[in-house]
Amino acid sequence: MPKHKIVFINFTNEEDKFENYIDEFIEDLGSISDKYRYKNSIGRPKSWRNDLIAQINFTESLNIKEFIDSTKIEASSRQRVCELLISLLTGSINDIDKVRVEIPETLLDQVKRKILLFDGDQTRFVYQPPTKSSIRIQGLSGTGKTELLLHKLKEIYITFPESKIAFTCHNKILADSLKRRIPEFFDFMKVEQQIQWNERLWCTHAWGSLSEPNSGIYRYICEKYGISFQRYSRAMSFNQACKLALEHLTKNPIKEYAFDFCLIDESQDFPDSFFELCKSVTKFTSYIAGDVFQSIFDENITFAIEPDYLLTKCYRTDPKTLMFAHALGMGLFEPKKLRWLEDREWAACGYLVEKDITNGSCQLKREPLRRFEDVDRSSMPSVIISKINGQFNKSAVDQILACINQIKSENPTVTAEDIGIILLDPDNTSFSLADTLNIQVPRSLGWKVNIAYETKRRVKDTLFVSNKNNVKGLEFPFVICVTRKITSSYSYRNSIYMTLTRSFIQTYLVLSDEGNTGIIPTIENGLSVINKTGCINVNVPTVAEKDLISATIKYSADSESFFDMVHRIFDNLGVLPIYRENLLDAVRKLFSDDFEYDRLYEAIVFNYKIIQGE
Amino acid sequence: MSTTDFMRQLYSITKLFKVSNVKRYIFPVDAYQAQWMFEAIRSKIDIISILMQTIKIMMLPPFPPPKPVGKIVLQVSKMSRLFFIMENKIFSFNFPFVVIENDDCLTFRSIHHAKIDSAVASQVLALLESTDSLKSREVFDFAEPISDLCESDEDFWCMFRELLIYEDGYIRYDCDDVRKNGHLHPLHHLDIFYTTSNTFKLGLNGNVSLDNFLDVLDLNTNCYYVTPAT
Repeated sequence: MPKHKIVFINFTNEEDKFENYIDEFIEDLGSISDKYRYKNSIGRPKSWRNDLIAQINFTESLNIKEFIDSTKIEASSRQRVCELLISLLTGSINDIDKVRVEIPETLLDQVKRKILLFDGDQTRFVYQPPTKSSIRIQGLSGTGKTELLLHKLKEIYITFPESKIAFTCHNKILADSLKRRIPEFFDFMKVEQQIQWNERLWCTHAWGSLSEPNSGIYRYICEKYGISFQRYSRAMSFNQACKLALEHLTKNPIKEYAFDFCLIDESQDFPDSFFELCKSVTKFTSYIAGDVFQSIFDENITFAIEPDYLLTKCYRTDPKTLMFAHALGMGLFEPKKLRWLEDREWAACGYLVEKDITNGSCQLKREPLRRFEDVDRSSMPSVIISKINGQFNKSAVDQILACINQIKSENPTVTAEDIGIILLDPDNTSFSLADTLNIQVPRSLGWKVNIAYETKRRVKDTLFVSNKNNVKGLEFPFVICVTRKITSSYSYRNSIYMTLTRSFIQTYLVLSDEGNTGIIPTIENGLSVINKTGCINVNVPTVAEKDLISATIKYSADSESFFDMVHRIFDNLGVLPIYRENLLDAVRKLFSDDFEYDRLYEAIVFNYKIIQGE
Repeated sequence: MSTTDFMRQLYSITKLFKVSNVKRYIFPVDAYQAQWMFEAIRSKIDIISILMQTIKIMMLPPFPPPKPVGKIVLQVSKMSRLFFIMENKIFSFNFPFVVIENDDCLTFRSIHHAKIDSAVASQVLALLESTDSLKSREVFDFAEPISDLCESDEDFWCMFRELLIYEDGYIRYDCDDVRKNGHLHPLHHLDIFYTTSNTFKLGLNGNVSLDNFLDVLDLNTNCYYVTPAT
């Protein structure tokens, strides 16, 4: 129970045994505190035993309420020490030099020095011994999946000293970052065993390249079992490569397992065949962690396979920011909604659904959770909509600088790397905007800028600027999202949802007033309802509306390539073959990576008329 | 040249437009920009990287710095070159693109690519930054990202190849008081080429202004002669 002592309750009459148990427990806790260098900050057991540990003999007449009241810790400095003890007990070890024992004063310091504590689901996942061949864990981004996998890895690595472990994800950059994190994490967790790379532990992306057998999990499996390695091409998907490998293994049964355990992150990026492949070469368990959905427009998030652990508590993002991001992403504030979830799906995303059958309305809210509860945040909105007028690039740069200055004035300890700027528009203006920031930010603020779509990494002591394609896995205390026009394209809406949720404390949404006159009042109103009532108020779409939403998503940009969509429209319109190549070139220049059916259709009709000379 | 002279020269833009058939575009730079511009050049990759970052500046409307510390000069004539000028330092290399003047900024194209914009420059920079593209033993690690880019920009590979194989003609004037060492490292000198096994120095009798430097490289003016140290 937060802000209360650690309590031992004796349900027996064996006083001596009870006393001994407590003594041994405290002694062990003291030695863990020593091991993780907490002792210098929180002191020896004698300095916390008296006021942070309580014991009681259970009797029928015990008044629980009175007893709980009597264990309350009043001083916030002692509450923090107790929280650090709990973190040691649950194995969610924090870096004591970073979180420190003193109470942080500003909100930003609260965030940076927050003591991370596992919740019940997270603790069970980390410490339960493997029971079956695959264990699935799912949750929205920000629910701590990767952190949990790292803890699980540590547990396996220590508990099974001879085991061979694969740790992988689809994306190469994320895999590289995981590989860098493991030694730091193991050092920090005082793992005494050496990391034996590519002998006991493989941490790499899933595919790999021909020249290096340890460059990918699939590549390693091919090497080990003499399977012919398939490299990526337009004709060879990862799914197909995995299926071919599985076929080989069926015909040539394995004599020795490649791995004892397999940990897979970002599982939403993988086809099932990869899980099958891993399972077939893994002796004990595959731990598979992934997001509830790859995109908020994924059709089937009612899981084909029930996850063993469903994490619904998002600790990274303020619940109000998360609600706003979901609502804006799915178009819930707008008359024509873009996405609707069924009750079970809302629950998987951590929502409580309250429907009012009389008027067809619905309230979506999230369970309150313990993030930075000690801070008074009532005067500090978690999302700020900031409208701009005039020439977009110039006014956007001015407004971004104004936002940063506001953040600086409200948070004097803020540094360049605490803020992330994400430019959402797909066209070339985003690039010029980033180039302008690259000149103006150093001049105005003395901060260096990291254009992350060029460097593909975070750089210390620099202001992060990137576009919508490079936000995965990122988080900042403050995020500034910039967009000229909120479009209805699914890829755009998914990006805006992803981007808005990257902040711990505050998200600024800088958007042009001119291009968004219709939508701005609705989203401002929706945000104000979220801020006042803590929930999203929406009308449940009718059956007909739901059908339309679902039918539109079926043919969305996310499920159909640009090329396929253009050809489907050509076929529908009966475009003559001789005109197709020129028409394709014309529309490709008009739409880069952001396209939606209606606009594409209009453009093709228009250009077709011109080409035919009508 | 004294600091005051140098600062005066930074602003003497009109003086540079006197030659006919020669176009010169001048972009004053601040201390932050000078930092990355004047980092040591050790490879062709460094040249391409500076080139890309520079065209990004030239494609924007001008943002004159409050405190200029140097300038970039783009000279387009029979010889097309970029010059980077700071006090006691000038370096230059070939500019491989065709320049198109707009109202308040420049745009560029190459033999193979009709529009080299900021997005293209960023893609080139991302390729240069990626360790796999240019350092991997596996040729596909180089080819695949380029092939992916070509799906949305079919001329990308030809343009990128052009950058990799073009002759950059790097030359640098330096006045290095710290490392001067008689005729082995004259106070004023030109550094020709940049890789350790290629580079050599040509000593100079005195300092070099941008005009002198341009004159050395100008095909239409008299040549300079190299004489042994005395």
